[in-house]
Parts: sequence; C-alpha cells; structure tokens
Amino acid sequence: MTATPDDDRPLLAIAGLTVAFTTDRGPVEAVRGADLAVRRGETVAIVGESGSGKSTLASAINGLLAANGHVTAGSIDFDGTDLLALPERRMNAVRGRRIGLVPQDPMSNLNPLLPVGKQISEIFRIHGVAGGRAARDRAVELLDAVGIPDPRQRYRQYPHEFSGGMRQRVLIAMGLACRPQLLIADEPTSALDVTVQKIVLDLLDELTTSMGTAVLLVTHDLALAAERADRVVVMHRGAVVESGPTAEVLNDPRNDYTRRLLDAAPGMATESLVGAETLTDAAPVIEVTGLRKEYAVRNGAFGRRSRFAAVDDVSFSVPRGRTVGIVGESGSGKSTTAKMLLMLEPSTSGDIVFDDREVTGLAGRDLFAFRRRVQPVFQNPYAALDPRYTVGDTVREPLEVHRIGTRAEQDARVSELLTQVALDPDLADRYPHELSGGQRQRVAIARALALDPEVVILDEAVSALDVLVQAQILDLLVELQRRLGLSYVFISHDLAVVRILCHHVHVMKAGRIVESGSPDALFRDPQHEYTKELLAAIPVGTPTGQGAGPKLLT
Amino acid sequence: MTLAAAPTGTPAVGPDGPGGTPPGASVPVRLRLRRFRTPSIVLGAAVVALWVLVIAFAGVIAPYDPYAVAGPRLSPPSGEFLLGTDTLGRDVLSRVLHGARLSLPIALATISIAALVGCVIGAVAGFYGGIVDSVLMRLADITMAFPSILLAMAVAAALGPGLTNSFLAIVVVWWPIYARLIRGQILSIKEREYVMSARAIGMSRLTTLRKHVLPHAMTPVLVSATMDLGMIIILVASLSFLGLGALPPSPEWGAMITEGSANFYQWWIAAGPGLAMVTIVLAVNFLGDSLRDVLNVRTRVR
Repeated sequence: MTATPDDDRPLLAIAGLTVAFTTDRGPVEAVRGADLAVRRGETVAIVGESGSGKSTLASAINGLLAANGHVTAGSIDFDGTDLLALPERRMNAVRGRRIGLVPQDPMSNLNPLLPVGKQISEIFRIHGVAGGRAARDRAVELLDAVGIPDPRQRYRQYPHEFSGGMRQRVLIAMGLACRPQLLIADEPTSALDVTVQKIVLDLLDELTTSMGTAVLLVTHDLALAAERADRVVVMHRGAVVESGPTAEVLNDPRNDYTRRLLDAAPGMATESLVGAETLTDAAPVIEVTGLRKEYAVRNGAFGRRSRFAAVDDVSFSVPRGRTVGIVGESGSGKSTTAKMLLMLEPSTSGDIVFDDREVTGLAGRDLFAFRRRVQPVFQNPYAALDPRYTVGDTVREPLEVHRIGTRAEQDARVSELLTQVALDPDLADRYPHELSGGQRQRVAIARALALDPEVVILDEAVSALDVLVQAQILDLLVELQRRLGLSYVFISHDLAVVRILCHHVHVMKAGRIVESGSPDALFRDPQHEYTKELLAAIPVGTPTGQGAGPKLLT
Repeated sequence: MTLAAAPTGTPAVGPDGPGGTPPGASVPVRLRLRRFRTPSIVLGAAVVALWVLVIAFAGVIAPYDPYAVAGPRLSPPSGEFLLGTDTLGRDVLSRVLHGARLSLPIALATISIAALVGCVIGAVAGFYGGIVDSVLMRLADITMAFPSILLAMAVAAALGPGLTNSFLAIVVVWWPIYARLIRGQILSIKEREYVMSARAIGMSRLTTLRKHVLPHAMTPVLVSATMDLGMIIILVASLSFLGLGALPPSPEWGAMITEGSANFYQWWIAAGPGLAMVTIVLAVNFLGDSLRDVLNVRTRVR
C-alpha cells in the first residue's frame, strides 16, 4: 500500500461517470455523469430508489459490472490510481485487498458447498497475505471480531448452519479481511430484521472505525443513511441530484426530489394517516380467540417428529372499518396468522369468528361465500400476479369464479376497479411485466376489491415498494377504507408504516402477541422488552427527529 | 455395437426441493429466439425437417418397394442400389426411408404419452401432497430403480413382441422421469403468491392447478422431452433389435440392424439404418439443447 501523506485528497474520486448497458432495445444509461468523493475513513451513503443506478455505480468502482455494462465516460480515481485504466489482473489485486465488498443478500453470497471459514481464509490465500495455518488462524480471529461465538467451531460449519444475521457478519468479515481502505456495502442489511440490522450496522461501524476504512454505503433507506453516514449522495434516475454533509442534506434539501423522498419516508414523527379514533366505536367484524398453529418438525432424516407452534394462543379483534396492525420480525408467525384468517391454512385450534359466525372449518359453499368477504393483498408485487394473464384478466378472475355479471358487466367493473385504484383502465390489456412495482400492487388491490370484500388482509403489502410509491399506496389504502368502509388487517415488519396506518397494533414475537395498544401509546410508552428493542432498532435519522444527528465515525 | 450404450436413465432431479424456477416468462420467447439462431439449431432443424419430408413422401422417394425383392442378394452399395441390398435382395435405402415412418412416429407417440402420463401423475402428487404424493412418488421410485432397458425388456417380453407393445413398455419405464420433474416444479410454483391469491378468491383446486400452476411448470418438461426423444428412438430400435419390438419383415431400423448383425461382412445392411438413426438422434439433441438455452431452463443433469 502506498502511503499518501496528502490527506486532503479524497481516497475515491469519481467524476462524470456514465455507465451504459447494451440491451435488446439499444443502450440504456444506468448512471449518467455521476460525481462522488469519499475521503479516508469517512462513511458516504448513496441513497436512491430501485433503478436509480446506485448499485450500478457501486459495482462500477470495483469493476464488477454485468457483462453487458460498460463505462462510457468519466473517471474513477482510487488513491491515485485510475481504476478504469487498470488491466483485469491488476484490478484483481485491488478487489478484496484494497476495496472490500459486502454484498446485499447473505443467503446467496456464500458458497453453500464450502465451510464458512474456508471461504474467509481463501481471501488471504488469493491475495498472498497468509496461507495454510496462518490463514486459518486469521480467519478464526476475524470470525471472533465480527462477534461469532465459538469461532473455532464455527470455522468448519457450512453457511446453512448460520442464521441470516450471522451470514451477514461472515460477509462483513470477508469484506474486511484484508483491512481494505474502502469498503463498499451494497444494501448490507436490507434482507435482515430490524433488530439484527442494528447489531450488524453497529458492528460494521466499530470495525471500520478501528481499521480506518472508508465506507461507501448503498441504501434505499434514508433514515439509515442519516444515522450512519457522514455525507449523503442522493441518486435519481442515474444522476446524482444532491450531495453534501448528512445533516445539511436532510435538514435543508435543495433538490426537489430529495425533498419528496424525505416527505414520503415515514418516520416515528410522521402524522398518522388515519387519525386517532378509538377502537370501541365500532363493532368487531373479526374476532380471533386462542388461535394456534402447529407444524410437525422432523429432527434429522429418521428423527422423531416433534411439534412446533408457529402461532401460539393469539387473540385479537378487528373492528369494522378500522385497521389492525400486526408487527413482528421474520418467524414471528404473523404471516401464518394471515393465512389462517384467509382460510388458506387450517388452524390447529382456536376460533375465528367472522361477522358473528364461526368460520374455522368452513368448507364447500360456506367457504366459497366466505371468500367473497375476505380478500388478501400479498407482499411481492412481482409474484402476486400471474405473468401469463393480462391485468384485465387478473382483475376479472374473481368475478368469473363467482359468476358475477355478464362479460360486458365484468368489463365495466374491471374499468371501474382500475379507476378506483388510480390506474388507467387502458392498462387492462397489459401484462404484469410491463408494469412498475407500484402499478402491480395497485392491480393486486383492484383484484382484491373485485368481490366487494369487507375485510382485506394486507400481508407486507407495501414492504417491497420504494418510499415514494409506498406513500402513494398507503394513501390509496386509507382513501379506499374511508370510501368503502373496509376493515384491514395490516401485517408488516415496518413499525413506522404500521404506526401511521393502523388504529390498533399487536406486536408478535415467536408466535405470541406480546403487546397490544393504540400506535400512539405503544410507540410512545412501550411496556414489553421486545417492543422497546424493536423501537430502539429503527434508524431514526430523519431530519425532524431531535437529537438524531448523524453519527460520526471519525 | 452402439446399442450397448442404451440409456440407463437415472435422472437426478432435486429430490423434493423447489427446482430451478424459470426466471422470466417476461421476455417474449420470440425475442429470445432471435438471439439463439446458432448453427446447431439451424442444422438440427434442417435435418429434422428433412426426415419429416421423408416420412411424408417415403412412397414417392423410395426407389423400390421396401418389402419386395429388388435385386440380387447382398449386393454392395452401387449406382443401382445406393445402400446395397439385404439378405433377401431388398433395397436397404428404400427400407430405411420407409422405416422412418415407423421409428419416428412411434418414438414421438411414446414420448408424448409418457410425458402426458408423467405430468398428470406428477402434478397431482405435487399439488395435492400428503399420502397421494407419497404413494405416487414411491411408485415412481420403484420404477426408476430398474435400469430402463431391462425393465422395458421385461414388460415387452410379458406383453409379447410387436411395436405397440414396445411403445407401451417404454411408456411404463419413462413416465416417472416427467412425474419427478413436474412435481418439483409444482412444489415451488404452488407457494407463489398468485396461486394463493387464486385460492383466496375461491377458485377450485383443480382449476387453480390448470390455470395458474401447470402452465408455469410445462417448459422444463417440454425441453426434457425433446432431449429425450433421441434416446427413445434408440430405445425403440433397441427393443426391436432384441426381437421384442417390430418383427422381421417390417423395415423398422432396429430390426434391420439385427439382420445386419447376422451378416457382419455385408456392413451396409446395418450401416443404412444405423446412420439414419445417428442423424436423427443428433439433430433432435441439437434442437433440445438449443430449446433449453432459448427457454433458459435448468433441467436435470445427466
């Protein structure tokens, strides 16, 4: 490593970078004239929505663009070296050794066939830092440093024996293995639960500070960027629209897009969308008591079957015309609860009373009739619509199944439904792949509304959407509720969204409801340890939040 | 003889797990086809097209009657008899051309019926799960535990020789491959949100299976069936070669090779049908490979 005494010069300087992808429809510019500078030891966050070019920019730095992508203009200067001019062989020496990478998805970025420790010591071997025993010892040290208990034992284990958070720690260990000068972290915690996210980010802060490593943090989460970065770069449609010190950008955004992004991000101080009506003013439409779902788990190939309760003694009610939120992390049983409410999954015991009628165990015609009244909207806008059917067919399908109306009447209803969710009725002829994520989710909502249901179960219905789109869909949901008197069960891991949308919230952990209350009461004065933990883990870097100044690393 | 290398089909489908889900029905196939106009796809298509023409016009193209004695016995290839004559003096070329009318349609029918049976069984097993799944899949496992040529021989021997029976025998041996394949697909597809959404609007299981599950599961089966077609052609011929399929006067390729093997020094008798088989099997395999690339499917590893 060449020591440069001149510390004022940035470690990484990107100027006028343009990246284009060759596609069937001609070249597409994913990054257009981006400028970016990262100084030694500082953390810079690139913030943007999906498709803003933030990940492309990050992969251009260490020369890992997809095969059809290439830099068409601009320069990338890293510690005095022009990275774009480096031949592939010398780039290999930079990658991993001087520029580390923490990729997004901890599930697919470790080789499932190799022990975790081997994958770390391999890095030392490749870069000629250490080999054999020495490499092993250093890998064990690193595992210890990223807080993996019993590292000697864990060294020999395979990725599937690690939890998501643990795997992300391993990836961080790999990214930092050679003490790089720069670490690129591309959405390092997006796949993790919020409490795990906090732990992982704290760890990342701690390690990079102690090593003096600069961090380029790519994220869609403005609050997270605010909390972790010294400076923020906002990208929109491939261009850098704003950059500057975190506090400055967030408190006094100059760019219109940044302002919209800030407004749309629900924080803990955002005004509720539904007002603070009390629960008692409406009769319950759904009442759940003592709901339980057990799965049989087999231990090993010939092991004995044991029972595992995914949902354990859950009771709550949904008042008519109101929204009840269920919050919890992955594995808390919230989605299983949703499936039981939808009668897509039988319950082991407990009662679900819908409109004064017991519905558990419904079958045949009764179940068919029940389906008209309770409808779902699922999480993933890319998987919720069958790609082989047009928007119109998808929305019409419920009407066909229930034989409602003639073909012409159905067509009229489809147009009406599409208008209702603020979509152009002409979109009826389009296929899902021609639509954006937000449009797809609107189609899913239109389909759910086709049968005039009384209750809509929203299972993470806005979680996969970008902030701006998410805000629009939330507004739409609130408007539909007012207009049609719908009752919602809103299932989410995102406390900020739940807070502004729900009238009443239940916090679930390990299959049980641990705390319930109005969002205001629950989030202002949490009683249960777990609720407190969840709340503390949310990044609160929103500019309106007092005392939430950006955390400086240097 | 190449027949020793008859297929021992032990496919390695991922046991239960969600198999590779084809990522995009999103890009129109037409667009992707354009990018795959490779020499192998063109050559494969051309050879297959040629054989289709032969099947259609065998009577017109063939210089002689395939059953009638056309000249002296065992005469080597010449201007008069391009591929020579066999032990009875029949024209080998005419017999090869007419044989295409037997071998290829039988192979095609076999693969179609095997795929159909396999798909129905696999779809039912995967979609309904539970005891139905266990019973059907154990049945498939048992069938697949036997080397396919041996089991096919046993079935054909039990049914008695004849082309129809060898067709039945191969269907019995071959369906589990597709049942396994489609079951794996369905296991992953049935968890997709649009399938749950279909169930939530009250669509019946069978309609859901037909409208939202099966269409997404078919692509790998189509590819796999195309790639297997070559093997089936060989299997049909193998059974005839062993005397369990088409019987002597018929110009079936496998049966003709049997005759050729008895006259080892008159190489042309076996070479005609053998070469015919090589061309069609190669062409079909080229097409299958290309189809797999175009549709971008991960199929079982051979």
